[in-house]
Amino acid sequence: MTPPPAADEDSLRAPAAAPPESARAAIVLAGVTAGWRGQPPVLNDIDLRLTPGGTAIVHGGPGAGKSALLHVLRGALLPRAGRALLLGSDVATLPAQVRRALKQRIGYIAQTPLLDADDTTFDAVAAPLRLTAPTLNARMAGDVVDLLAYLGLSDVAGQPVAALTGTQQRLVGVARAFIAQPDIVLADEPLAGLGPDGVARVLRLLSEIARQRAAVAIATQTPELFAALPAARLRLDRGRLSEAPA
Amino acid sequence: MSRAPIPGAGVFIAVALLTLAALAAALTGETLGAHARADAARTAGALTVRVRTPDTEAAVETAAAALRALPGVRFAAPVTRQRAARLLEQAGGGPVDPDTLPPVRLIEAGRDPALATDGAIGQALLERGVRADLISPPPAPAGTAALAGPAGFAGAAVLLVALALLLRSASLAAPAPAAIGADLGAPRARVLAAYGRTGAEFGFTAGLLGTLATVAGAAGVLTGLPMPVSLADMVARISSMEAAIVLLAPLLAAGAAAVGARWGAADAYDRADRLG
Repeated sequence: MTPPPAADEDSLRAPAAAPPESARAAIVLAGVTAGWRGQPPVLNDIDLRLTPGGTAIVHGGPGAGKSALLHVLRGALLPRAGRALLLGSDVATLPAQVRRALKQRIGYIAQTPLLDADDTTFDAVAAPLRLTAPTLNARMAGDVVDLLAYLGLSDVAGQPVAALTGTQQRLVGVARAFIAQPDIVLADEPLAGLGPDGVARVLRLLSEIARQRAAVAIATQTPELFAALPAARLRLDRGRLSEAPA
Repeated sequence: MSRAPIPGAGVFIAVALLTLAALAAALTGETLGAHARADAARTAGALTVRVRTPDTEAAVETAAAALRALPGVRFAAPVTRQRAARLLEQAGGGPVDPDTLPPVRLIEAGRDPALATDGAIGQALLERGVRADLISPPPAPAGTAALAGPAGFAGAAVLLVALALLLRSASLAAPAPAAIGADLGAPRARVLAAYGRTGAEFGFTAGLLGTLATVAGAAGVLTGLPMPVSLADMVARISSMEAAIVLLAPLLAAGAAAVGARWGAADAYDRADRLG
């Protein structure tokens, strides 16, 4: 993904949360119940619809089921009941290889990014691109360089991620989620541990990707995020999703 | 009530199968060796006497009696028509009528070849006016009895070493790249293939180094003996089985390590791919 121009305040005010209703939904959850393997459900009867370009912020306390919800939205946690349609496909009925291919169209910012300690920062960010092009072309490599520069990671592009600070590793996780211009971006506490500059840049990336017609779902414990992005405001409490109070 | 899946069930199954295969190889080798030894001992003393003159049944009986009287002869019996018919049926597969057979001038005997030599038997028969041919079975293939047992144990050792390499390789497979691959939606086969290639490279290198170290160590020990062994002697002492194991060791190590690495990666991939 090409990073947005610096200080593009207009992009923050873009109508990301109000796509046309006629647009095909990127995410549809209908009565979804789900839980971790061998454990009782943590999500109960969840309904959610998110169209391309739409953003939803899900607020909830610890253990509310936010991470589980994001894993359902990326096809890693399959519903025990109900239907989960991602980009028009019912994930529960997809063959495994098709479900995995679907994941390639979903960018996921984990609360704690999973990184290969031996990878350089550049390679860690470029990993999604290498799924389709083992040897990066000049444009792809340029996109990686630009994104690293935007997030302030240029100086560490050649360093192994094990040598980075925790904040830098989180930014690597953010960059990796955006680099392949996914159709859906899922973010689990995307601003945790970032400084003011990092927060502004990640928020701008989230706004920009939504402006480019990706659906964005953000899970957070901090309701202050509601004010930072134009988005549908939802609350998850003990596995049940509802509209957040204004 | 559904059963909870056993983590690493594939590893348990592999351990069981390879251990049993190693045991089977050892037992099979030992059994084959025992059979070969018994067969060699039996055939080494077997003797067939074909009476040429006089061409009479009485001459056959006389020759059999002469054989039985010799030291070292365990038994000697004329081949009856019935016995000949049975042997022909075993060889040819079809029924044979004993009455249709011509006179059989053969004697089956068992002997200790060291005591009852061909010369002693021929002399004893001549003294009774009988001329005969002595027919001994061809010797058992050289070394069959001696090789079967060690081959079985060598096979068992190879299987157990392969098992150890496989398990170690599985435990060394770093889970992060596999889990990242699953997170990003990388095809499972491609992720596992990458692990397999890396495992094979490491395994081959380890096998090659191990082989070189073994050869160097053996040469060092043999040349360091009070009465050093020459290079030619060393080469002459290497059996074909030992040479095969040494030459194939890097490939075996590569294969075992590749399979182990794939297993380790598959576990990490599957855990990350499906969380529930």
